[in-house]
Amino acid sequence: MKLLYIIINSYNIMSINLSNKNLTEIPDFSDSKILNSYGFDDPRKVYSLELWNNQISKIKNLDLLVNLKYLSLVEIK
Amino acid sequence: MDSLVNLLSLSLWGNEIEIIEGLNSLVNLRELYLYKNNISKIENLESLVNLQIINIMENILFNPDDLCISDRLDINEDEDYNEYLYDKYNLIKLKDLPNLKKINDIDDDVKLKAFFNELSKKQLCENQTYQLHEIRERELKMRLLGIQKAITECYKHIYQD
Repeated sequence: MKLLYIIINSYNIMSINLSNKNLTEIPDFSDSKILNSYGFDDPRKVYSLELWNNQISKIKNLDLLVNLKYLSLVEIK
Repeated sequence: MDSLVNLLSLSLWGNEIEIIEGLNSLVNLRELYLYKNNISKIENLESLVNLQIINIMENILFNPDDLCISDRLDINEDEDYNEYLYDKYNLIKLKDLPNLKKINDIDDDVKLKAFFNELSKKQLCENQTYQLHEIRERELKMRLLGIQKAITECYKHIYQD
């Protein structure tokens, strides 16, 4: 059962789209409240993050997204 | 970006990046999109040994008049031609990347997103409202007919409206 839980959880990966949000910085994914507000609980499950069209000037707060595979920081200036 | 060792694709286009740096830890990166920035030199890519696609169009690096030429860059097609382009655009640094297959390639999804991004801006500027089903219908049409052809059609519709 534990193995089954691990397998299911390992496939519970997420894509987050934060485009066009007028963000001035990348959200702090170490903050559980912020995590929950985006509908997920574990930054290690995030495999895709899109941040198109924001006002972000510095790339930071990505350290916990260790399994991130696709990152779009397009037109964030 | 030191912890992003599993990153496969990184899109940083449309910003004001002047220097390529801070990518050393992205050893598994396969696609890097840097077009529409202010990059004047190709550098600091040595550790990206798994890089297969890089796009560096529309930077200071390239003369705008040469974009149509640079768009055809493909190191698998014509070695002599690529040698010429490497010299012309000072792309010598890229020759050391063992898995690089395409330079200045843009995949269809990126084109599609870019198009809808532009469309969205246009709507805001002109205060026009498109119904969601129209957008989806056009997106489907784009996928069926081919991205470039459909984009042209959509623009025609926009200007007619």
